[in-house]
Formats: sequence, C-alpha cells, structure tokens
Amino acid sequence: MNFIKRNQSLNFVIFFFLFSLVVTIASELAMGLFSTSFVKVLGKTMMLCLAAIALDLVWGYCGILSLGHMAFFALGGYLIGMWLMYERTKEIVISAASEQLIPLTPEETKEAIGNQIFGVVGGSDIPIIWIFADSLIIHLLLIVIIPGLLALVFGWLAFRSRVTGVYLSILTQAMTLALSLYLFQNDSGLRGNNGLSGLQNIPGYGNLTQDVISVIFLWLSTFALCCGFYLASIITKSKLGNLLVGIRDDEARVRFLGYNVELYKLLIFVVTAIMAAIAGSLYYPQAGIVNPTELAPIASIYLAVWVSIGGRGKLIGAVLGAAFVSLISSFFTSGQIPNIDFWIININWVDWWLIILGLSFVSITLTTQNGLFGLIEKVKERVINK
Amino acid sequence: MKRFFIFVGVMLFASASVASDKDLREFIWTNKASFHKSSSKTISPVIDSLLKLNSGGTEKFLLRWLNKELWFRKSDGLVVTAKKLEKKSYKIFDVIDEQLIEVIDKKKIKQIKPNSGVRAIISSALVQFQLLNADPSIRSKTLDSIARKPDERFRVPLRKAIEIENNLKIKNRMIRLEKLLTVRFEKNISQRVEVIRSLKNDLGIDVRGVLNQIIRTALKAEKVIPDNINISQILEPEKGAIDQYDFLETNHSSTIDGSFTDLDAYLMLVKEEKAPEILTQKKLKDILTQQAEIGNIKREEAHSLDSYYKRNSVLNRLIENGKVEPVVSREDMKNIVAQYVFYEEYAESSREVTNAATETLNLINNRVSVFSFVDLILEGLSLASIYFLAAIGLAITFGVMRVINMAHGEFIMMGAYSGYVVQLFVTNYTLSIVIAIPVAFLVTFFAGIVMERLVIKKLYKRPLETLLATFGISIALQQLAKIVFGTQARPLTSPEWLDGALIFNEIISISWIRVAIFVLSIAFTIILIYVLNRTRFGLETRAVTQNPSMAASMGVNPDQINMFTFGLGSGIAGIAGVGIGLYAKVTSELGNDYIVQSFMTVVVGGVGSIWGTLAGATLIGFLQKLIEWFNPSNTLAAQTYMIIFIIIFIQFRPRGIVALRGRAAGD
Amino acid sequence: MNDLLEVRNISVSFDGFKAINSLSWSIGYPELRAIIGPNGAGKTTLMDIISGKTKADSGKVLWDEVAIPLTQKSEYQIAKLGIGRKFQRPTIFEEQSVEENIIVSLKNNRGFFAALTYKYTDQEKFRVGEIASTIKLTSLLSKKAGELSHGQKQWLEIGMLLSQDPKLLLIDEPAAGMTTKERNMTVQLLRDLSKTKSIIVVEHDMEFIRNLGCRVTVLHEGSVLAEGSIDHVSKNKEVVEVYLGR
Repeated sequence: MNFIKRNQSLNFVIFFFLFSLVVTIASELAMGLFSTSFVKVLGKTMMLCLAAIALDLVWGYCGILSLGHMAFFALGGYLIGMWLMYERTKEIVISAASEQLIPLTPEETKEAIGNQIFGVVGGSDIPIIWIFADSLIIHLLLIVIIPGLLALVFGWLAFRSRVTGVYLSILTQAMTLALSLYLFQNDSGLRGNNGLSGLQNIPGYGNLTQDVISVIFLWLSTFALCCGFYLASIITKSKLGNLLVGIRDDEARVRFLGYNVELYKLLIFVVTAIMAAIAGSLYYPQAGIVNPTELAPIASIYLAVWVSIGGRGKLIGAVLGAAFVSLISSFFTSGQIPNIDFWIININWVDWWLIILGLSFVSITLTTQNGLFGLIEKVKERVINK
Repeated sequence: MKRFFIFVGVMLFASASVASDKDLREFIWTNKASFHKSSSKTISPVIDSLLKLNSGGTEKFLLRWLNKELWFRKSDGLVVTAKKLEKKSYKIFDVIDEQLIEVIDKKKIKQIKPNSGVRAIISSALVQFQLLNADPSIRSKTLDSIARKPDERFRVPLRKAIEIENNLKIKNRMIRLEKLLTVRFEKNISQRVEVIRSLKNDLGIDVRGVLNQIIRTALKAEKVIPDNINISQILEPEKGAIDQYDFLETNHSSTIDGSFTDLDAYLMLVKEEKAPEILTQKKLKDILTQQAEIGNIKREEAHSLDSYYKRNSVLNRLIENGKVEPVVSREDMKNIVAQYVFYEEYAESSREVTNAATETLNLINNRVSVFSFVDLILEGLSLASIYFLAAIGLAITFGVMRVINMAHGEFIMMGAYSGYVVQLFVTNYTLSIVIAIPVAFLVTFFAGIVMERLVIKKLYKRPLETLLATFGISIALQQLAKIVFGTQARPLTSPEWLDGALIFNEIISISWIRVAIFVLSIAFTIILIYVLNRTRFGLETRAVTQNPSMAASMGVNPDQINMFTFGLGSGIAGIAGVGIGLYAKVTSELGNDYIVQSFMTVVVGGVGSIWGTLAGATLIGFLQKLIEWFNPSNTLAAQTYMIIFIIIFIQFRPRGIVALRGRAAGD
Repeated sequence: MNDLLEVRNISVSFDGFKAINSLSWSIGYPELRAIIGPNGAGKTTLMDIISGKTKADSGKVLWDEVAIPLTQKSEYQIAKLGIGRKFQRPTIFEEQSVEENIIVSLKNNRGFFAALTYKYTDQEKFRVGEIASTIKLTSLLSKKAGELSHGQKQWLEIGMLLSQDPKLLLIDEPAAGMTTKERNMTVQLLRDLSKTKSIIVVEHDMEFIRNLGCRVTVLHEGSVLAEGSIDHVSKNKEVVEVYLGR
C-alpha cells in the first residue's frame, strides 16, 4: 500500500531548502561565486521541475499525455506578466510626467500606459482583458482561475467524448497550437509576437537590484516547488494515487468499480494545469520575457521528454529529468563547450546537441521504461544484491 | 457620337502637316532656355508645342533629353549632344542630324539634367511615339505605364494606335484602356455614361478602381446646401452621442459601426473650424498649463490637479473671473450641429455619370462575389489536396497501424530535400521532378523501414512512448537537415510548364502547381485504394489491421506487413514532400507546418480509411478557406478557429467522419 | 422470488447488424443464471447493455424493486447501484498489489476528495482479509497483481467485484484459460456466492455450466431461444439445431 509508506517529501523539502541556502550564500549577495544570471537559471530550473511534476502526475500516474501543460505554464507567465508590465509601465509613465506643471489624471495615465505597451502592435487602447492589470491580488487569482478554467473546459470536452491515448495527446497539442496562434495575433490584446517584456523588475520596488530579486525569486521558487512536490506526493500516496494509476493501466476497470473516471481525469487535469500555471508565473519574472513561442506545442513535448528521461511515474524522476536535461541543454546550447574540429568532421555543439538529445531520447525510451531514475534504482539494487 | 469623335481625332492627326527637321532645330533654338533649365511647371507648354510641331525627329530628341544625353554650349546656349574625346575635351554634335559641330573644352559645355518631375512629363510625351513602336513588347510596356498613370493626353495617341494596331491582344488592351480613360476624362456626359455601362462585364480591378473613384464622396457640412451639386445622400446625425459623450475620454475616435452620430457631426465641424473644440482632457490640460505658466493658477494648486473634476472646477473659476473664454456645453454642441446640413457630395458633378457608375459597379460586384466564391471553392480544393497529400501517409501509419509517427513531417521534409538534391544533378526541371518522385519515395521508404525496425517495432504495445520516441527522431532529423542543408530555404524549382496559373477570368485563377498537386493527390487516392483493396499486400495489410493473431495463423507475417506498411506510409510522405516543396519553401522546418494539420485531418476524417482522410482533408481545407473568407486579414485567427472547431467536432463524432462502429472498431 | 433486473424489449445494432433483437428477459434475487449461445448470439452485448458500456437503440433495462431505468445511466453510476462486471480478459491493476486492488474496490465514497483523504481502517482490513480468503489469495496479499497466475487473476477480479458488495454480478467466461482444478474451485465459488447475490455467467464450456447446476438462458441472433435447466434446454430441438447447424 503506497499510502502506508513513510512520507518522503520531508527529505525533498530539506534538500531544496539547503540547496537554496547554499545558492544564496554563493550568490552575488554574499560570496559572489554564482552570477545573478546563474541564480536565475537555477530558479527557473526549479519551476521547470514543478511543471514536470505536474506533467508526471497527469501522465506518469494518470496516463494522460498532455501536450498542453507548457501552454498553461506560459499562460501563468502571461497572467503575472500583465500585472508586472502594467504596473512597471505605470511607474515609468508617472515618473516621466512628474516634470509637468499639472500631474496626470487617471485617464491620462491609462492612455500613456496604453501607448507605451501597445505602441508596438499599433494600438493605444488598453484591451478589456487588462482590466484587472493594476491589481496583483486579482492577477494572482487569475493565475489559478484562467488556466484552471481553460483546462476545465477543454478537459470536459475531451474526456466527455472518451478521447484517450494518442488521440488525446494530439488534441491537447492542437489546443496548444490554437492558443499560441491566437497569441501570435497582434489583436489578441497581448502584444502579438512581441509578448510581454521587462518582467524582471518588481513594480513598487524599483530600488531593488537584480541580484536581490534573483534571490527572492529563488526562494519563492523553492517554496512553490516544495509545496508542489508535497501536494503531489500526498496525491500519489493516497488512494487517489492508486486510482490514478488504475485509470492509467485499466480505465474500464476503474469505471466498472463505480468511479467516475471522467471526473477524476478532469480534476487531475485541472489541478496539474494550475500547478503548471503557478510554475510559469514564477518562471517568467526570472526570464524577463514571455512570448507566444513559449507555448508552441514543441515546448510541451520537451517537457514530456524531460519527464520521460527522468523517469515517469516517479515524482523524483520527473524533477530529476527536468533539472538534468534542461540544465545540460542550456549548457550545451550556451556555446561554452569548445567545438571539435577533427579532419573533415566539424562538430558544433550548439547544432549537434539537438541531435544527441533526440537520439538519446529514443534510446532511453527503448531501453528503459523508467528513465534515469529507473536506471539509478536498478544500479542501487545490483549494488545491494552484491 | 463616339465614332464621330474618333473620326475627328484621326482627321486632326492626319491633317497635321509633318514638320521638317529644320523646323524642329529652329524650335529648339528658340526655346533653348527652357531646355537648359527646366522645371515641371514651365516645361509642359514647351513640350506641347514640340509635339504639335510633329517632326520626325521629335521622339529621338525627347529620348535623348530623357536619358540625359543632351548638353548645351555655354557660349550661345546651343543644344547639342556630346561625346567624350579625352579627359577634358568633348566632341559636340548637332542634335538633329548628328553632324559634328566642333571639339570643345569640357568647361564650355554643360549637361542638361532634367529633374524627375520633368522626366515624367517627357516620358508621358514619349508615349504617343512608343505606342506606335514596331516592337510589341515596348507597346505593351507603354500600355502598362499608361495604366499606372492615366492621363487625359494619352487618349488621342491611344485612339490613333488602336487604328493601326495589328496585334489583337495588344489592340484589345488598348481599346480597354481607352475606355477607362474615356470614363475618367471624357467631357461629354452621354458618351461617358455609354462607356461606363459598356463595362458591366469587365471584372478587372482597374475598372472597379475607376468606377469607385467616380462615386467617391466627400462628407460636407453647410448651413444651406448649395445648388447644382451632385449629392449622394443627406445624413441625419443620430442624436444621443453628445449626451453620452464622456469628457474623461482623452480622445474620441469616430464611431466604429459606421453610423453617423451627432458627436461625429460635431467633431467634423470642429475639424473644419466651424465649431469650437470640445473640452477634452487634453484641451483642458493645455488651457490650464497655459494659465499656470502665466501665473493665473498657483504652482501648488496646479500640482494638485490630478483629476478631471478638479481641473474643471479651476477652469470654471477662471471662466468666471474672465481669464478664459467660456467653453462649449453639451447644449451648445447640439445647437451648433442643428444649424448644419450634413451630406455626402460626389466628386463627380454629373448625376447621370454617378448613377451609371453606381449601377455598373453593383452589377460588377455581384459578379465578382459569385466568382470569388467559385475561386474560394477552388482554393479550398487546392488546400484540401495539400492537406490530403500531407496526411495520407500518416493515415496509413497512424490510421491503419495505430502507430503515431511524430517524424512524419520530417519524412515530408526529407522528400522535399530529395527533390532538391536531384535538381542539383539533373538540371532539366521536368526530368528532375520525374526522377525526384521515385527517389523521394525510395529514400523515405527505406528511412521508414529502418525506423520501424529499430524503434517502432519495439514499442507497438506502448503507443504513447512511440509518440515520444518518434518525436526524438523528429528533432534529430530536423537538426540534421539544418546542419546539412543550412537554415536558408532551398528552392525546388518547378518545370516551366507549371509556371503561371490556370486563369478562368480576372477573379478565378489557380496556379498550375496547385493543379498539379491536386492531380497528384487524386492519383494517390486511386493508387492507394487499388493497392489496399485489390492487391495481395492490401489484403494482408487489412487482415493484420483487423486481427493480427488471426492473420498470423493464416500464414501472413504481421511483422513483415507492418514493416512494409510503415515503409509505404513514409514513402508517400516523401512524394508529398516533393509536391509540397514545389510551392512552399524547403526548409528543415517544413514538416512542422504540416504535422498538426495532418493529424487533425486523420482524426477528423476517421481512423483507418482513405476515404476518411479524403473527407477530413476536404472538410479542413474548405473550412479554413471559408473562415479566411469571413476574416480575410487574419490567417492566424482562421487556424485558431479551425482547431477549436475540430475539438468541438470530436465531441459529436469522436471517431471522425468515416467511422467504424461496433465491435470491429475496438476500444 | 422478485425480479432483480428486467430487460424489456431491448434492441441494438452495429452498422446494420442486429446484435440484440427486441430481447426481453429477467433475473431474480438471489439467483445464479448461465447464458449460453453460439458466437454472435449477443451474450457479451447483453452484458454490455446492462452494465452501460453499450447504449441500447430502444427498450428499457429496469433495476431492482423500484425499477430504476438503467439505459440512460453511465457505467460508474450503474456500478454504484450494485452491478459488478467481470470481463473475459482479467482486468486488474497489474502494477499494484493484491491488497491495493481490493482496497480500491471496497464499497465506500467514490468521490475524488474522499479518495484523497481516505484512511485504511481496521474494519476494512478485516473485510479485505475476508475477501482474500474467499478468493484464496490470503497469502498473496502483498504480491504484485501482475505476477499472479491467470486463474488467480480471474479470482482477484471476482474478489474486486465482491468488495464492491454488489447485488448482481456479470461474469464473462470465467473458466477461460483455467486448469480443471481451478474450474472446479470457480464453480464452487460462484455457487457459494449465489446464495446471497444474483449472478449472470456467460460461458462456452458446457461442462462448466452443467456443474453450476442453474437455470440456463439460450440466446440466438439477439433474442432468447430457450430457458430452463441445462437438461431441459439441451433437449430443445431448436437449440440443438442452432448449435449443430442446419
């Protein structure tokens, strides 16, 4: 019985707490070993891990391979980004107007903000969807509500018609594509392909420097990741976890046991969508920019790849995969590794990395069902048996 | 009437005596100053008289002038042509008979450089000569330039050219162009009307352009409507907008839905300076800033004015104190609007002409919308055949084998690149395409078989993992293509006979490449239906699809069938790649553009049937075009709505259009 | 003996093929009933209709004394009413232990949040032990279900149905792939259970049916051909014709 087993999430929390502590000490605030951008990379990676946990719950446990969770992730980014950008622009507008004899009225401020934000897409009116952009509280709620609602509607439609397996994956991919195409439009009200930018500053705290902000977000990310992991481990270790695995392995059986499988799927889909959105809302302030390419279907497939490489059906596996692959990806594509020039072979890692990733992904899928984590466990078993 | 005019025109030309070279030389000499330094304003009468002179050398002279080959001697202003002899000395020649005049120091002559305005006038003067040029391509080009810059002065030369034109195609163009010029510039109303009405079967966009220009109106406001003007309609401003007007708005843009409100009317009066400006926030701020600068408002008070109401009360105080002129109230605005009549006046003064133009334009537009619809159907058909081509290979691998192949798009890409490589070696485009099709098929067929053996085969029981593994292959292949072929688009050139378009009329046309793709997809349908329904391989494939273990016991080797089926699906993707590569840019990301649409096509059509794929492609192709038709500016939105439609469609037909039902469908 | 389940004038067709043709039929409580018939007679389809997997084109399915109509209900609602379904192929959660398999089947709140906050009580532990001994898997409780033998898997599935505490069990070909010993044990198990429950067994194996010693319904081309004891129906001329062919 899974839910009888010892709760292991405490170890996880302790590890990440210590990890963040070490990073903080090594950051430019204290010892200066880690650059601010590296601290941000770590913070961002943690949020990718949280998204991976969400996907692992819905895919590794419940068997729904969603190719839409990065869309929820980016949506979270957009929703926090709207507030960040609006308030930041407001500050700029007000400080720019402070020289004038007569201060701005609220209406004039709005117009100036509209011009600033939407000038790039040839508009000046603030679209209706920005109506709450001046309220952090509402936007924090929206991070939960909007992706949750989208997941609810989409999931209801999809699960209701009993679309499963590969079909469902394609349908989620289509949803993601539709969303990203929509956001690419200039009249989507979210600045088309320019996306939202300048998110790295915290409005109201203009005097905070990036090294401080990076550490703040590192801790916020740690907190969110630990909460997410804790929640996920509660779910997986409860009877609900058994049922999710049951739905994955034999949906009909669960249904004929009297469980409303569609409702279960729908709720887990919504819960994980919200998790992904929260992860995104902490990721993009560290990235500084969010644009529609972030929610192209390929992003969600990458997330699935990470989870699969790490080992799905295991929360730690998902975290491991996301952290490992995304870090190693950014390492390879950063151009820090010297290119190999050997005779006629010229290996440029930035180019070849994707090929290595693709092929290693194929081979991991073929050789092990449980990814890196499964591999580690196997090795452990062997060592113990000897 | 019309004939009479043409007659007169021809007579004028014929009767004008041909002037001699001498007259021309004399003319240039007397007008030399105009040539030395010409401006577009002063040169027109000179050129007109030059044309009236009607000398045989005029065309040559004008051409030289245009091409900056004319010089003048500084000592007496003689216009000459010059040729460089040495570094500092030039030979100068007579401008007419090209006799050498003298060798002269460069400092003593000066090149005549007409500015662009003048050159435009010269070239339009040249038109009448070029219309008669022996070279049909020059005549044709001249017609192009007349069409670009229509001018009344071309009418007479055009009529003359029509008389003697023997190339029927060019002659028809000339006649049409002459008609368009008549429509625009003819003074005789009844003749104009007659010509306008004769255009009712012409779908050309230029015709619509000219007619639209005639019925263009301008919105005007006067207290009394002047007599003798051609009014399109009198507008009654809709009341209420002024009452609702929110002065907090920082600016007001005109009403969107096309209605004409009293506010629009008032704003128009403001623009024409017939009414005082509305007190918008901006205006209010300007007034107060000005008052603050001259000290009528104290600095501290100015700093506190952060709302419209505070500003307004200060303004009212200033008005009471007489420092500022009173501003208009809502009542004032309404009263001012009531004093005026608003109407749309045609730029064209003749009622008969505008009526004829409106009626003709309506007739044309009706025909245009019918034909656009036909064109839309053609475009939908073409898009459907592209989607079908892209999806049919997938329908076989995904539909028949239930194996999802995310690298399907990359097989399409490989097919397109195979075509490109073949073209590197075979330069005859027709031959290269003929070779490319089997080559692309073989390349992707074997790629498919290798992939099936190495990857897919091991994952038949784990479909979701097939999705991810094939995705891994997809990114690797894409990157590999990027490394091998680079990021820039590679051309896959179609043979010459596929250039251009199949043109039915001005509206309905379809490029030959699209026709070819359409033919290709029909051929595919027939071949595949034959292969799957009439051959041993097809029989075995269907047997394996329906019941692998039963098929195995009947002596069919499911393993082999799976392998060849996958190869077939991939090979077809390769051929589709050649087809798609002909009209789309071949890049390493070519596959990305089609993969989701392909899956949608298969899902919508229904798994396991070629007819289903055909139906799916048709539905998606037509629907996308239809949505684009309603919202033509926005292909992105069309795709968005398309996908939303598909998601909803799945609700009603979860198994697609052509669905297998019952036990055979399985669960 | 009242009717527990009544099927009234049910028809269903797939692509023009009439799988069930105005079938009317009923079962009492408690009762053990076997359904036999040649391939394509509509046996599995009938079970599908009762359990909600297939929707009937016309007709009614009425449940229990208050005659609750089942035709518009979904599978999980029907299961909650007390109808357990066992499939031909054993469907159990292979990745989970036998104990876990039984626990998720135990009758209690089926809600999402109830599942999240669920606590395994001693009372339930006792119940699990009871069921395990009924299906003779007591010693294998902590074993992964996927590692059981085929027959054991069949029993585990029956055990899972029992944990639901149903009134009616629909059992599709329980004897398939079992050894003779396992078969006999299964017969005994079903006979024991039928004292407190209604059970519908679909089976091809005539010996197995004979051993069950219960009323038999013969289906042919989607309707009832004959009904009675096994000896009675096997003497029926039409039944013999159907089975042996004309």
